[in-house]
Amino acid sequence: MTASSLHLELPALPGELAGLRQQVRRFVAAERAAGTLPYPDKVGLGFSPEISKRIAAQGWIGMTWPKKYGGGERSALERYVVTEELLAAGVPVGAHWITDRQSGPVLLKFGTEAQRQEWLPRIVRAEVAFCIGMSEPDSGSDLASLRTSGKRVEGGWRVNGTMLWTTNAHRVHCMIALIRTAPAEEKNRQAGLTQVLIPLDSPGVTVRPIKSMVGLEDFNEVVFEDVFVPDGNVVGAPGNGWNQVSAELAYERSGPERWLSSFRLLAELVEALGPVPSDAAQVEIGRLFGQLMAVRQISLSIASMLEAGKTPNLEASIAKDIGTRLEQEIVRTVRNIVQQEDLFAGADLPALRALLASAQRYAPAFTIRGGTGEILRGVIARGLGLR
Amino acid sequence: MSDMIEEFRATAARLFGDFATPQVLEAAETGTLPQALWDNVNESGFGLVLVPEAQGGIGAGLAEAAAILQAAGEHAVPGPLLELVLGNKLLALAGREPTRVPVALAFAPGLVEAAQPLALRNVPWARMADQVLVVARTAAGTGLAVVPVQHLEVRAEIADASGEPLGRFDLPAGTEWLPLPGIDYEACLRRAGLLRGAQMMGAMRWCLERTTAYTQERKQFGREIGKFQVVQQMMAEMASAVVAAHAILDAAIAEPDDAALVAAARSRLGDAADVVSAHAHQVHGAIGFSYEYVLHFRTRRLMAWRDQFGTVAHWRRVLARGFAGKKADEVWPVIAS
Repeated sequence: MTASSLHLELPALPGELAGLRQQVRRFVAAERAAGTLPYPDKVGLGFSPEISKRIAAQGWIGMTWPKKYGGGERSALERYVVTEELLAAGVPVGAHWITDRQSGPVLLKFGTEAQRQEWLPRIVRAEVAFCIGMSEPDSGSDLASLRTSGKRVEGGWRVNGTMLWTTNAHRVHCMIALIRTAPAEEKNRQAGLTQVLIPLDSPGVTVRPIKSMVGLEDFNEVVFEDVFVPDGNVVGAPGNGWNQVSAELAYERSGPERWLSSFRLLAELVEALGPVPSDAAQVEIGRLFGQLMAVRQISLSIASMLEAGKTPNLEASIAKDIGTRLEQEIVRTVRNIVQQEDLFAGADLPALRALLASAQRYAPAFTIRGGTGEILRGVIARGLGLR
Repeated sequence: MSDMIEEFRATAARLFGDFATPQVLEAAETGTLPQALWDNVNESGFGLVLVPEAQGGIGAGLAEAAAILQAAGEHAVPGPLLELVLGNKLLALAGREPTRVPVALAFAPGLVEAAQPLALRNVPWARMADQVLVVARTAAGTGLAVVPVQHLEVRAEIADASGEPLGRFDLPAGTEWLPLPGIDYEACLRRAGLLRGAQMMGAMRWCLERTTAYTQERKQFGREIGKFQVVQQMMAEMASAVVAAHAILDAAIAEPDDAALVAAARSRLGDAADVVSAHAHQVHGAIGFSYEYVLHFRTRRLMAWRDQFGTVAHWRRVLARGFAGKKADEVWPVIAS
């Protein structure tokens, strides 16, 4: 990879995707009409097992997985369209999002047949959900430094350590944790890491919710004290954990959740400005939509590359870095326009008001969660040949 | 970029690389159009890329034309190349023969009354062209005026950052407007905007590659400056801006009649040009500020090109108008159909 080869192909988008897109829109409209899908008044993925079950009933969880595990055997692009539509409408997809995006695919790619049969069909029906254990109190961006350990015991591993900032651990069933099962090698710090599946009701697991500056209890501290993990719950080969988590990075970093987090705020601003926005507001709004449409184009191209079996990790880092920075810029610019146009002086605008406050409180997380911007730009610089 | 389009770009880049030497770029700044370069453009047939085969052209599409202009931007080629490429397409639509002489291309604001003289301002290359083409909205629809420059009094505008000449002139009352069947004013402007965007992309890609290489050549504190994280972060920002702008530009070139996509591309290109110019210069330090080092030939053009054939603000207004008056739930379907 060099600077000259850093170029994304136009995505190949089959025409039938438009039909699926309309199908998702009809689903959202019907849920809204039935009063079962409230309009969002805050940013962040809402958590609703009921909504997730109704989404599952549409066949929109595990869409790309084999039918023998309950999946839909549909394309990565079809999944992309569904996720994009659900997020743009502000549907609370949090109860299955990480499980569908990451945990299921990890089990599918690296899990044993028994693990797949045990978990995937229940994931597809939104009966179980997972969280990801990778961050620790002293280990964030430097993932390979993590210290939660597994010691070999009869029939499995004894796990001790503490995971931190674990989204949803207090309300899902299982964690797929990355733990150290062998010391790091001098030349290879990434060796000795292993992915294990830990049901959160296992003896020795303590989950303590942590309140964030948003006020909601999304994330948690999870303490493991002599937790027994049987060999049957090791995901993939012991010691292969680093390669396994790296394989999912393109999915984790390029999806629409990396640039749509504050979209609903922008949409409410458009409504509040009415049919004749001021010239200054038009120019600012045009800039935001230009940025948004460009990062969407990157995201679409990456979905197309994933469909073609490629692993565009570098491109995904670009998508996440500029997408999440845009999410923050949308919040600042919407605030500026609200003030310039004095929108709150003459009208209540409850949705815009609530979303703006929520987005301002949430925005610092956009460029931290799932890989900080600084780490991502380091990945991009490596792609340019600078590291 | 498909392999065939890339081949187009590479061929053009080789030709431009041979002729657009620093001496030629310098000479162009004092008002000399590089004749040898211009002759080669005509010999290569690049000027006929958008003219249908039945009218003696190559009959290729906008993507091929954009590939040529991207190569031109890469090499900071001076002269009205875009104007020749798009002008010949418009001449063909109007039933006229393609031209080989330097042409200027202007878009008249508002609705044009044939009985009134028409003031045109800030027209690139008008002072060095043999012929000017003006696209206008007339009562009879979109029209094209084809006027030899000797019939006009072209005066110099104060030059913009690029140093490329800008002219102003009045089109006399009674100028004939040739009908342009099958294309309207906005569609012409979108194509001009995209081709200028392709030139910008060429200039930005050159800046990205040259600056990346520079960070691996230049040493300070005993190591290449590219080894410093602060420089790496800037290079990553530059690369991301280029990749994002290129992605939306390609999408718009494939759908040139999608007004929102074209406007988004030009808006994004404007942002990218700002980041690329600023970071390329900052990373280069003093050497990039010298006249001798050819970075400025690209960055100065980027400063001017971002606002030609529709200013960045114009394209943002066009984009925003597509959303005005929408309910919150109606905004997303404008983006994704």
